[in-house]
Amino acid sequence: MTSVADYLSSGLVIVDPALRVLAWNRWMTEHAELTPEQAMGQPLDKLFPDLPTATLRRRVKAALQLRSPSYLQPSLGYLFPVALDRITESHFAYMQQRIRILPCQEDAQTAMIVVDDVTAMREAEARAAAAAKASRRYLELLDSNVMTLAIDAEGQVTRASSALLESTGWSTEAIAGRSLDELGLGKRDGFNWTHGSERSERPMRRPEGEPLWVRVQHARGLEDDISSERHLVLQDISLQKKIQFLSERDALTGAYNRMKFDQLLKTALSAHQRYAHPFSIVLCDIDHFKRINDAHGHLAGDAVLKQFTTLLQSQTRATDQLARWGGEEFVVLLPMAELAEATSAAEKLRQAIVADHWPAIKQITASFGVAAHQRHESADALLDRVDAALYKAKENGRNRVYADETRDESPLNALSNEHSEPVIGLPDLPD
Amino acid sequence: MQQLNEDQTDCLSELINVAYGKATARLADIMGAFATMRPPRIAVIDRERFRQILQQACLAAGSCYLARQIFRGDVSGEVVFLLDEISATNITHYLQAQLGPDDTDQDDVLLELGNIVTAAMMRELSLRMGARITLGEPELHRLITEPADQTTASGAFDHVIKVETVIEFAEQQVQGRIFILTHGHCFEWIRQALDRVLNDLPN
Repeated sequence: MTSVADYLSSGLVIVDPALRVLAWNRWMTEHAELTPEQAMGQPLDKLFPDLPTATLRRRVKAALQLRSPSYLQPSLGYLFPVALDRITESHFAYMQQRIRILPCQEDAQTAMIVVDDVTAMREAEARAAAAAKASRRYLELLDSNVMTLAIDAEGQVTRASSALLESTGWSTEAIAGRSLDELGLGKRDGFNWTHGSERSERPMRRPEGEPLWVRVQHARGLEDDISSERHLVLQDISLQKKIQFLSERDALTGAYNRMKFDQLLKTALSAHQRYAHPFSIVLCDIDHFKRINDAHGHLAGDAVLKQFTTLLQSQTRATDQLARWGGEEFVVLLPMAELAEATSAAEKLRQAIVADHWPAIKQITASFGVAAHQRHESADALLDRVDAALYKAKENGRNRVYADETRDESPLNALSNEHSEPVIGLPDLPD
Repeated sequence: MQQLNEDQTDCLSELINVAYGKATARLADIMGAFATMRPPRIAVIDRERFRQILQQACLAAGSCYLARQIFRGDVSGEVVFLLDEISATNITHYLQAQLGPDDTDQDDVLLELGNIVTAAMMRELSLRMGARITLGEPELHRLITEPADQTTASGAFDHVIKVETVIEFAEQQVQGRIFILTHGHCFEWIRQALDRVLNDLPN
């Protein structure tokens, strides 16, 4: 072995086809802990009993016959065991080796086994593989548990997570290419992709059945410069929506309950304080409802209440809010409505009730109290006034509208109060 | 893209036929695997067609194996030995049965096979064409889906010589394809070398 070989940071072993050692360099002496004298003339498998002798012999033969290098990937990661003493944690107990077998140029019957220490590279590969595996598992976890959608520049779905497919009933093929709009999630331009983090609640269309209520949010940080693909994260809020619906609705009629009406009234008061938006309240009561219950039973009474609610909803504006106040009393909040407008609306309702056909009962009537909110008036004060107006309508013979004419003493409304009068409806119909 | 004329194609086919014969002989001698080979079909294709072939191979068999080896010298390029998944499994089982308990690693067996076939063929081919070349270390890739350009490094090469044949090991039919990827100027060198071989033939 030449002295140059002793300075190499790789192991060199020169062998014959039977794997007898003819020479080796200092690297091998240091790492195998055998002197050249101990190794010389010995078959390699005698020096290293665990060596894959048959494979190595074959590779030596290939190199010699082909006059070209051959290579070996030892299944253990090494050919010659070199224990690693490390102060840091390692994936390997033994040095990882790259094995090349080169035909010696000067002798057709000898080959050179070159051993390179590739532990650092294999360590990096192992770490990268472990990180990739962890990432893959994390992505799988996300895919199966988080509803996500990827969309292209046109707002069409390119990918959907397994969680989304499972929750919505869409298949990968069926959802691909559909637009956000088509799915009930709005338009691509509707999202603020640059800075926005707002969440919107939308009913997502499903291939069959009820829509699924979802909260939609732009998943930021996944964009790149090359692709215009964007990602949305969706959260199933259908249960929340159901609870919300049940908590704010009257179970029998589906109209808002009193608690929800209180919230709506509070909101209207705030809007009035901030923007001076007017609003009015109509309180109505079905005339002689007790008689209906007594004569036709409670089920018939319930049917009347349901029909009454449906009728009121169909005869009011989309912005008006209807609530069941209690028993056979209902209340309507009319945003942006002055007293005259609210009184007309109440009269329209009264007439619609009279004109409608009520199965079994044939005809019913209702009395209405109307009051417009006045500046600085509290919710309780307003409700007292509308309640009193309803009482007046009842007292004056039922089946009529009574508007509370209390003058708003505030400077803004002083003029508008001068010509207002109560509206009286039709006389009470016979029972 | 340059092409070979009819004479050059015939000449290259013959050279590769001989080289493949040497390669199967080496396989029999070194690995104890007796193989016969059908006459190879030769074609010069561009890298887009090469990409399509890899894609089709993956689609047809679910995945495929590529043993790649760089060669440098008078001509340089890359040799790719392509085996589909079924062929790779068949040949590995067959060779492992021949070789014994040491050789359980499929990748290592495929690399050895690829290296012997490639080295034997390229050595014979270069010898006949009067070229000096050195082969680099083989790498094995398993392609599951459509290969990206960087996987095949085909982006750098514009000429691909496709050598297609069926190697039969015992009853195992192994569809092996070899692709020699090279640059335009090296391809020109090959054409000239083939002309020299043709000129040296006795009339």
